[in-house]
Formats: sequence, structure tokens, C-alpha cells
Amino acid sequence: MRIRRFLDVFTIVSLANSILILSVVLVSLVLVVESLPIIARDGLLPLVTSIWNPVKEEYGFLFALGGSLVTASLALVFSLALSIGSAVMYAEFLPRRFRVIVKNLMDLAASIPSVVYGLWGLKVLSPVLRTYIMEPLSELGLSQFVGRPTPAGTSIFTASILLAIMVTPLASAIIRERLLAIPSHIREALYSLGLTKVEVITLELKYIKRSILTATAVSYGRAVGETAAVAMVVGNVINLEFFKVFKPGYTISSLIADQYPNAEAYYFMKHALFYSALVMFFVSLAINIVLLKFGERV
Amino acid sequence: MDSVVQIRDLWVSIGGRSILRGVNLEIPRNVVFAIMGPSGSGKSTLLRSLNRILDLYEGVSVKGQILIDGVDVYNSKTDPSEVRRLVGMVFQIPNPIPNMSIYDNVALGPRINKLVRSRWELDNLVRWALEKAYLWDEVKDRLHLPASKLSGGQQQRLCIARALAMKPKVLLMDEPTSNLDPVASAKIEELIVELKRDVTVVLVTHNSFQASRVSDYVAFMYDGQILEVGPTGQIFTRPKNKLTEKYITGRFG
Amino acid sequence: MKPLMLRKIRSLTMLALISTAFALTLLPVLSLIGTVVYNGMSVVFRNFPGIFFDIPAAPGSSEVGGIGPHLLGTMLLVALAMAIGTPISILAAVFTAEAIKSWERNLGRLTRLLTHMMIEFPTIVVGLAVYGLMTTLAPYIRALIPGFRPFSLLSGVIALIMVSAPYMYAQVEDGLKSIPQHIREAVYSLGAGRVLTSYVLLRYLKSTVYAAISISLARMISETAALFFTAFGSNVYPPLDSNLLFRPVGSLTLAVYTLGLSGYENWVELSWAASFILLMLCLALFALSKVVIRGE
Repeated sequence: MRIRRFLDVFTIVSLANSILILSVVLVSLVLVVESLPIIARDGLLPLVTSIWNPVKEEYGFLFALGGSLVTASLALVFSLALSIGSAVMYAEFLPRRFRVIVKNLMDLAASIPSVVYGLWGLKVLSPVLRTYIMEPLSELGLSQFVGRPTPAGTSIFTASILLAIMVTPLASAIIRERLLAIPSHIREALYSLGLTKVEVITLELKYIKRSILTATAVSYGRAVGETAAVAMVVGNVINLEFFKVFKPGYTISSLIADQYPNAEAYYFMKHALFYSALVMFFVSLAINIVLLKFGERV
Repeated sequence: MDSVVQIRDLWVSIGGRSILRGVNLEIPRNVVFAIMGPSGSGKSTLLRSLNRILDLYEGVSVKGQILIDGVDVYNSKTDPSEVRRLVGMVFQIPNPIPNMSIYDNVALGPRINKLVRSRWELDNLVRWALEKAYLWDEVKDRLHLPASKLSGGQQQRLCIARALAMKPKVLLMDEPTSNLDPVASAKIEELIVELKRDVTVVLVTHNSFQASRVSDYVAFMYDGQILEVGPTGQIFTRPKNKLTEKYITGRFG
Repeated sequence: MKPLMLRKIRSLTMLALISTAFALTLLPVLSLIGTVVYNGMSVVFRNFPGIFFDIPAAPGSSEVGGIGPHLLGTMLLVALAMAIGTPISILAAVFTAEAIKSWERNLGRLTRLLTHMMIEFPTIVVGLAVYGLMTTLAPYIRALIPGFRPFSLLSGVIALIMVSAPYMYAQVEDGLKSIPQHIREAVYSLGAGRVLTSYVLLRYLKSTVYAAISISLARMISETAALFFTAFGSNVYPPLDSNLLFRPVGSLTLAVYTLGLSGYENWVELSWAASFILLMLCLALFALSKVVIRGE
């Protein structure tokens, strides 16, 4: 008993906490330290220029940054429409006996490895999108604004659709659970005022706007950070016009994944890649802060 | 007699269990009509069948006819939201929409149902409804605060104002005081008596004393059927049914 | 009557939009599962059971070969990462939930904050950082272990732990937090110390802990991006000697990625097979976690 008082066994457990804390600190530290050489040389220039010329050691990854933001934003728009729609369908219209199947299917979808989505996106989704959406639209004269698709169908647009498909199950689940959690007496109050189903649903969505924001932020974070699936369908081509979404391009994550095998060959390239990762780190930090301040626990 | 609500041979079952078994009832205009009975007797279901709130749940089947102000409630051509515009409802739990302001809670019905043409008209309607609900003086300076900031009794009066703002013909009240303290309850009871000038109040209560204090007519329900109906004075002084007598004297069960 | 018409039209439009969104949410998932099962199964049965043991056939040949090294790599990576990561996550969660003194509470709060941030970090960033760390440390490690390379099983294991430990930590901690205070007080009132109490509470939370473990397992098996610069990938079996930890290994996810992008028909087929195996593993773990939760 006396020994225990001096050496509380429980104190030893804090070692586990220290390891976790240390690992997060180390990750952040390494990112900063490894980016320093190129920050010291070029400052913020790589963020606003689009050059990738390892032979001359010139690096500007605006094209990838732009690609990431465009893919993630497009993905967010599609996925919000899909997740709100499917959550409302689930909570307000779907008969109880179908709910179990649909819920399990969506939960399963959220747990399928992203690289499997990537393979499906490359072999199934890309050709379908090219034939039925991208080619007809660019034939219609939109190619001026969105570019022409390649034969493979890999493009920034394809990546954003695939991302939307991947993040919708989770986003939809967040919204669905909150819709189901609206107390029935609130719902009854709305109907008792003579509101139609459409009006009630509109009000309910306003009521849970914090959850929709949470779903948005979580989806955006996933979409920006997703690597394997995006790298398989985005095309991995340096595309200075990253806003022409039917053309192939790069995102930060796919740039890192794709360029890394060459990085050791050039001194600054490795540091440039760390710098781009640092930018992603800050984007996800910003999302975290938004979630912490305005979001709900998922 | 001019009846605003007519219920003819109403049978309701939920999930295969029959809850109402052949209810017939006529409710006169501009009275307080109390429905009392022990819990599980079907009084809440009866109330919820009047404005088709029962439609929200799976496995509910309704047979029979209800006419409210001439509208055939369960006719397949009738839009349930049309019915609910004629009929306001106040619930057991005070349920203002918590994230909406006091003003918006009252304005919700008139806005959605396009009862008003101008902002000025809406302001007046909101004020009228809040005054009718004895709430205006307490909230007139903070109409834009969220409704969740009010006390329980105030929230319940806000719900009454919200229902009144649609100028319903009938106001359904489902044990409106069961979650309130005695002072707040007394205020609501006082209000109920006043309300019958503008609207017919159908009040469900398990408290027979409350029924005797506020109502003009009473129906006693037991096991999905109405055992006795009549003017309140008559029922409370000369009940015909043995069960009614037991219930009102508090010797029930 | 006109507003009523308008309302009807609005209702129908809304219903149409909602059903479309619902269909567009489910359709891709069904298509994905369908294609992976259809394509993957036929490849698995073409070279059964060799698919689980062979190395990939030469690119472009008519044979498919197998994904033995990748399967072994995933098994090694996940087994080691689970063995190290699980106790760390659970202990840290226990410490955070049962902290009493103020320094303990602060340490717990810091752990919570940082790990919750870590959950949202892109895994490619975590993988890259681990790689950066290992290259920095490599000269020192080489003094002890001459054969050490940053691209190695060890780096892969560290990356996997960093990716999944925050999740497991968060789940177990939430579970411990959700235990009603009166139950905790009851255990303490029997005279149990904190260590024993934590043990009892964890047993009480058995199903949460099992679910957290199976979800972590699924996350590790599914992880790709964090392994690019750590485990690196390999199409051959590593020699099973004392340097096993310090050499690159393959994984099923890396196999799907590199073989799928290779452009060789027989390698793409292997990629489908690897996807099928991954899907089956995830399905099994998914079912397991559901059963565990329901068993509560």
C-alpha cells in the first residue's frame, strides 16, 4: 500500500498520452522543417506560380493547389445535393423495413477502401462520364470553358464526381441522424399549422443547419485530403488551366503521390513537396477549427 | 344545435391494435369541450385524428367520418394541410420551434398559409394572437429572442398564440398543463375560458377537476369508447354511468 | 384553389429531386460492389489458390500470377501496427477519461485536442511526415542497424499507427465518458483503485472496445496514401530474416494502386482481385463490428 502511494501505477499510463501527443507534434514539426529550405529560397512564390521544372529546380504548385480546390469544391456541391436528398428520403419517406438495408449499405460504402473506389473510378466511372456527360457537353460548345476530355476520361471533373460519391455516405449519415433526432413533438407542431411536407422538410433542414455545416466541413476535409482514388482518376497532368474541369490535372495529394519517386533525384523537389503538404496541413487545420467552433461531434 | 365537429362511427387502429372503437360525437360551436378519461382510454388518439396528425405515423388505419366546419376530414380528396389550417393544436410538451424567434413562431402559420398581404398586417396579427394568449405584455420588448429563452408556461402560451394566429375554427389542446407548475397551469386555464369567444376548444385532460373548472361540456372516454357526454354541470352532479362517477370522484382504478 | 395547385407542384418537384439524389447515392455503390465482385472473383478463381501465394506474373503475359507478397505485407503491417497501436490508444483513452489531478486533466485535454486534429489530417501528409522523420533519423539508425532504409515495414507500421490510433482513442474515450457517473462511483466505492476501476469499466464497455478494434483494423487494411513513402510497396517476397523490419513491403492497397494504373491487362486483373479481397475483408470486419455492437 505504501509503495503505491509513491508510485501511482496510473501515472505510468500517461506515457501512452505522451506518445500520441509527441506523434502529432512530430508530424507538424517535420512538415515545417522539411519545407524550410524552399521557403527560405522562394518564400510564397510556389503558391502563386505554376511551373514544375525539376531540371532547373523551379517549383510552383499553383496548378495543383487550384486543382485541389476545384475538385474539392465541385465534389462538395455534388455531395451536398446527394447527401441532403438521400438523408431526407431516408428520414421522411423510406418505409421502415427498407431502412435497415439502406443504412447498412451506406455504412458499408463508407468503409470500402478508397483505392478500390479509385480502381472503379478509373475503369468504370471515367469511361461512363466521358461518353455520357463530358463529350456531349463539350460537343455542345462548352469545350471553350471546360476543355475537351481525353480518351481515358480521367479529369478534374471525374475526380470530383468520384470524391462526391465517396464522401456522400458519411455526409448523408450525419444529416440523416440529426433529422431522425428531431423530436416528434416539433414535427407535429409544424404539421398542425397546416404545413405541407415540403414546407416541413424545408424548415427541418433549416433547424439542423449546424449538422449540414458539419457534414460540409467534414466532406471538404476528406475531399481535399483524399489521395489514392483521386490520383487514379485525375489524370496527373500539369494543367495550368485547372478550371477547365474536363481536362486532366493534378491535385496536391496526387502530385505528392505521383512525383515522389523522383523527389530524391533533385534537391529542392522533396522540399517543394513537403511545402505543398504543409499547405494541405493548414487547410485541414482551418477545417478543424471551423468544426471545433461551429460543428457538432460526429 | 350548430355543431362545428361531427364524428361518426370512428374506428382507429394503430399497428393492428384497435384504439378507438366506434366513437360518435358532436361538438357545438364556441364552447370548451373537455374529453376526460384514464390514460390509455384513447383520448389523445381521438384528438390527433381530428387534424390528421395521425397520418404521420406508420401502421395507422382510420375508418368512419369526421366533419369539421363542413370539411370531410378523411375524404381522399381532402388535403390534410387544408384540414390542419382549420384546426389549431396545442401539445402536452410546450413545443415552440426552439431556434426561431418568438415573433417568427407566431408568424409561421400565417406566413406559410399566406393569410396576410403585408408586413403591417402580419405585425398586427402576431400582436393580436399574443394578446389573446395573455403573452403580449411579457414579450413585447423581446419579440426577436429565440423562443427557447421563455419559461415553460410562457412557451405553452406562445404555442397557443401560434395556433390562434391561423384563426382556426377549432383549437385542440392535448393535456396542455400536464408539464407545467400550478401557477402556470392556472393561467392557462383562465385563458382557455376566454378563448371560447373566438374558437371552439377541445381539451383533452386526465384531470377531472380541470375539466369541471373550465369546460361547458364533458365527454368521458373509457377503453376506446365514449361512455357519457353532456353539459359539465350535469355530468359532475348527476353522472349516469358508474365508471364516470368513480372517475370524477377520484375513486378510479 | 390556385395556391393549392402550386403547392402540389412544389411537392412533386421536391419528391422527384429527392428520389433522384437517393438513387444517385446508392447506384454507384451498387455498381462498385457489383463490378469488384464480378471482375475480382473471376480472377481469383482463375488461379485458385495460387492467387494468395504467387507473385505477380510478368507484365503483359497471359498468366496472372498472384498477390502473395502484398497479402503477406498487409498481414505484417496490420498485425504489428495493431499490436503496438491498440494498447497505446486504449491506455491513453483510459488516462484521459479517468484523470483527476489537474496536470492529468490538462494532459488528457491536450491529447484529446491534438488527436482530434490528427483525425482530420490527410493520411498522405502523415505518411510524408513519417518518411521525413525516418530520413532524418536514418543516419543514426544505421549506426545500429546497417541495413535500415526509410522505405520499410517499420515506417509503414509507424504510419499506420499514426493514422488509426486517434480514431481508436476517440472511440474508447467517448465510450468511457458516456458511462454514467453512478456506475463509476459504484466501482470506486467498492474500494477499487483507479487501475482496477479502469479495467472494470473497460470490461463494461467491452462491445465499444471490440467495435473500435475492428474499425481500426478495417482502417489499417484500407489505408493507401500513408503507405506510399513508408512501406513503399514491392512485388516480391521480402527475405524472412532479421532485417525484415527494415525493408520495403507490399500491401493489398498498394497493389490495387500500382497494378491498376500499370496499363498491363494481366496486372489490372490482379488489381481487381486485390480489390475483391479487400472488399471481402472490409465486409467481414463491418459485419463483425455490427454483430459486436448488437450483442450489447
